[in-house]
Amino acid sequence: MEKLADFSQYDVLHFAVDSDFQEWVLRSVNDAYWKEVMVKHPNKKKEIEKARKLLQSIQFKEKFPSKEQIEQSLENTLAHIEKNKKQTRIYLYKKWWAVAALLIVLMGAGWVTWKAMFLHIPHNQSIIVKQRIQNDKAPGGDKAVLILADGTHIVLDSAGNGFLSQQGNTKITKLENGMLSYDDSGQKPNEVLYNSISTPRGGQYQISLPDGTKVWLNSLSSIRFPTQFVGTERKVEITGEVYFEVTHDATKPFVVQHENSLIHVLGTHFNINGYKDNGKTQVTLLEGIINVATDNRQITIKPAQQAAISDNGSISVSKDINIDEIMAWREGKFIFDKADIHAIMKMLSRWYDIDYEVIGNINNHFGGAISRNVPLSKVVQMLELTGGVRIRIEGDKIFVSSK
Amino acid sequence: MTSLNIDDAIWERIALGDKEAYAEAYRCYFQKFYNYGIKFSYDYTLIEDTVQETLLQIWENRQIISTIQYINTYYFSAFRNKLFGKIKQSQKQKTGYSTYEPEFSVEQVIIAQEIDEELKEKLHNAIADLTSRQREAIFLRFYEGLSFEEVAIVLGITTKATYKIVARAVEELRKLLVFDALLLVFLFSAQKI
Repeated sequence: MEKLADFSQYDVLHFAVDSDFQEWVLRSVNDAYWKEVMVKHPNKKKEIEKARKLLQSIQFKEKFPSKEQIEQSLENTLAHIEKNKKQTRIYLYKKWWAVAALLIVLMGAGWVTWKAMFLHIPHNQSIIVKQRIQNDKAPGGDKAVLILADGTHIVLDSAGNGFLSQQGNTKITKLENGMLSYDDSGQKPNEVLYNSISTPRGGQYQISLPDGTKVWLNSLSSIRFPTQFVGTERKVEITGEVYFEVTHDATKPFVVQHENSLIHVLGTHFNINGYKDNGKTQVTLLEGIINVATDNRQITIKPAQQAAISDNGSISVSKDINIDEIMAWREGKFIFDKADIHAIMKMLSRWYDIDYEVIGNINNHFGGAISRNVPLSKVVQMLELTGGVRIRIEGDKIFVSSK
Repeated sequence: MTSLNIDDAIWERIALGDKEAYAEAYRCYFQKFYNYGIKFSYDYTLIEDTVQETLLQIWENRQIISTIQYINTYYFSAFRNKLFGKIKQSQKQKTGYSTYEPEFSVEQVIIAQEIDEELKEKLHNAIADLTSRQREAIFLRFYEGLSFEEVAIVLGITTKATYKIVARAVEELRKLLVFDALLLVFLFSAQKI
């Protein structure tokens, strides 16, 4: 700002859209500089005056909260922070309990006959439950870490959006809906750069790949992919549980690698549940057609079928599956259909970022549906009501025992 | 209500867990976000809830403050995302449609010129002809004093596009104000006679 720029060609509009000029008019920044401009360019005085009037003519209605309102809100928030020090996230939704209560009632009628259950529940049930839950957990949310080719870590959550990074020819932008978008503007890359995104326990995330394919990551999952798809196929690698909606491109098959298996796709919707502690990888197809291959086997599955891949590379196909149960996570729900306690606890452990321990043998099977957006205590309450188990939450651990 | 952005020293203190610094930022942003939110909705409770949630997030995310490049803008954008989500949700509940996009209300823009009713109406029409995004961009640039780059981040568009939006809006208004200047000269000379 020391040197005077050449303003001899400036008209009213040039001045009005000049960022420094705007700063001066609206915020009195560099007053001396602009006064000097007027002295040096006496013939521009009129233009400057007009541009100034123009900018000053645009104003906005203002409405501010009262001082009491602000102080009250601050007090509430500080009280919440103090009260929930141990929790990772705090709820301020004024009516969340009503929503949670409603969702509990949403439990599938097919699983439990409610009336019969109610006859046996003592009225003080919820009080007892409360006493056993010393450290409730808030549900997970949109959280992930993006790791760029150069090793840079970028924290992604539900907050800010916009341009994140430029890698080679590809621009990464975080869109308004929280999705990441990769735009290569149709340019050919000089080198293939790999990015990966991983979600922590209690996290989930959605991204859109350079070819428009949509990807949803459940908790404790990851995907590694090139910033631009070059060559004859579009290949990505995943861990954990990932749902794909692949953009159709007959010339470039989409290939997903998960440990020992490769999934070849043309354009289709499918879910891969490959958590290590599951013992096997389950690939469930919703739409289209996919080919699942390991070193020693290869199989094609159709919609509403599931391929289960075991560690030794064998594949079995199942047609008797509950798609709603499998896809519940993407709909923001837990759905249990004759589920065993270990499968349920693994799921809760990932979403509520908490460890668990099952005491003794529990052979009961559980059924029910509940939103994933409720505190852990609500899910626990549902399990206790329907499954005949007793659950305690202490510190960072859930203990389950039979009643 | 300008240049109320939180300076780096305050952010550093918040990152270290200083509640006084947080309270200071809280008071400043509460006003800013509230006044911003009103441009899109008259549901004061909804706006207040959204402001409070966003501000709580500042505290919860204090450990990652140093990793965020444009911290002020980050929370503007966070607030906007949350607010838009909630407005859409409540519209969906009311009407059953999910396509509603929150609009930066035309009534929120005032042209501060002592001009006659006819011209005022024309200006008002010109502002109504701007897109919601143009009105929002000039609000963020002129009123909030965000740089073109920061406006771009909040709106989730490129800096170039932001510059174009603001320039087009200013040009539209200039056309009318030039007319205004001529009119004033005319009135002045008419009086003389």
